[in-house]
Amino acid sequence: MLNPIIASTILIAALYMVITEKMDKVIAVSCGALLMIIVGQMLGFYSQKKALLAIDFNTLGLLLGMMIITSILKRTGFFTYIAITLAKISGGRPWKLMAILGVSTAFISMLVDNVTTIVIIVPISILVCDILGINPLPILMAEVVLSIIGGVATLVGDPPNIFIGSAAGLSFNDFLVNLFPVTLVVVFFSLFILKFIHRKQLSGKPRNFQAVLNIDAKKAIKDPRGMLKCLLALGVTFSLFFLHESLGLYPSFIALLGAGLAFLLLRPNPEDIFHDVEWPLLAFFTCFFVIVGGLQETGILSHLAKKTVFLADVDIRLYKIVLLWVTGIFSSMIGAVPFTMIMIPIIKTLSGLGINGGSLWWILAIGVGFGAAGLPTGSAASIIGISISKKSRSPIDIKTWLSSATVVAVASLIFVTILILAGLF
Amino acid sequence: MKAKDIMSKDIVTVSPSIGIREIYSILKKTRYGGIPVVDKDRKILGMVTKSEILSVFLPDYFDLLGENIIYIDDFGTLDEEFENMPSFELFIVEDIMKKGSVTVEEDVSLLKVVAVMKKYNVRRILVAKDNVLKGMITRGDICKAFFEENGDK
Repeated sequence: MLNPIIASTILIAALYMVITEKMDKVIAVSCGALLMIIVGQMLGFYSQKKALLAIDFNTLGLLLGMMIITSILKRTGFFTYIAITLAKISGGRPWKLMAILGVSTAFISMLVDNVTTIVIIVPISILVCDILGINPLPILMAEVVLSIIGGVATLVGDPPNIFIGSAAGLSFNDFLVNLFPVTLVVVFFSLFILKFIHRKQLSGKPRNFQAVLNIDAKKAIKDPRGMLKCLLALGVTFSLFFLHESLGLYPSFIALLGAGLAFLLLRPNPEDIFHDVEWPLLAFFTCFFVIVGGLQETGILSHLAKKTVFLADVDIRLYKIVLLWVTGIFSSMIGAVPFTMIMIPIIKTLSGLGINGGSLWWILAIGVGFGAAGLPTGSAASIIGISISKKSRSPIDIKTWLSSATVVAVASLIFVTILILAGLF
Repeated sequence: MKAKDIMSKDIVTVSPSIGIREIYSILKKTRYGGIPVVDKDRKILGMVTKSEILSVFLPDYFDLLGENIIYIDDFGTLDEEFENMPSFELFIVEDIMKKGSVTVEEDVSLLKVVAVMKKYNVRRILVAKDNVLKGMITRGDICKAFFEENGDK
């Protein structure tokens, strides 16, 4: 009994430090990881070897590869080009701008990292709104919230999906078939919920649309040939993702292959590209793997899982609904990534117990993914989006978040609850 | 030669509460590029230069747009607001000053002053003791000291 208590204490202490920002998050989790190994070795439940095995290099490789491709693509000016072109299509009308930019952000987030998307699209959107003299707030909310929701659709859309895919051995196409349709529906109805919530702010009359039309979007592309080459590399990467199961290729291998191809075709200065890679994030994930690995070795997580099985025996649909809401709520509070890592061993145990585990993985992905929009702490995209909005005249404050994004998150979880009741999940 | 030998002692300073328009007229009158901001005990709070004044014209998020600014010629409504109801009038020194300042002690050598200026890429440096302002040295002061001393020989 002692081991689980000590291991849980280390995990909770590390999470506490991360959430309250009392310590840099990488330092907090690396201390936690080291402590877990030391204590685990002393008490005999964990070892250096087990800690190494707990690190999922498939996940890390996939993240690294996608970060590299995104960094190279970003530098060609592709995302800015897209954002300006879309703003022109909108005709300057606030609702159209919100719909076009929001939905496009959702789609881009299915392919590349949310944070990169937000960092580029949000400032350009604020500028376009300022040129038009309209309130940027609804557009920013749509971009941030829909990027979080959009990420649920694919294996590579969001780190939690990468973890789940790797741990459960689910392929890119599995994700696409099971999550893309529901995500697409949720993206569109979230957009309309946001339209209703922000209807007043969307009523502004745009002026000076000609100034937006005058922006030469092509000039945003710093390296036109490079952009095409990089899109080619991205295309090859995603084509291989579609085929990875039948080809027997690991997603991480494909992502790194794509990154290598982009490097080869564009020959950027690797130092610049590696500068863009979020090493602290990769270090955070690595350390968190070690911490959760230790907790798992104490047996507490599978014990927890077994304790809940009776509910599944009573009614599997009820079990899924509880799982959905618990993951949604915790994901919004402690962050989608840490909570997914904790839940993975639990779901694994449940699958092992012969519960119709297949769909539990999807419930987990949806719960953490949609739930992450519930509070600003849920995902990195919201934290970054909010901090950028503070530099504009319409900062996103916690009240705005609760009355807008939280409503969307709750509505989308209710929608999925209905799908579960209807037997569709 | 030491810093104190070439610094100007008689320098104009401002308090953090004065308005941006007033700063502009002081800069124009004194032909200084930058003015130290001090409290009532002449403790250094910061520095306000022409580039700080220029930066209030721009919305905060502009620095996030990076190179994307270069090919946008017409800022539409933003331009109109800028010309018709300038909100920058409301700024006071405290809002815009660069907090803290690169300082040297009175007794340091001129070479050190040059090295510190280069290191922090500043055009002028404050001379202080215990953070109390004693004087200011500009790039011109240093050039003058070197060239005119050598010329005298």
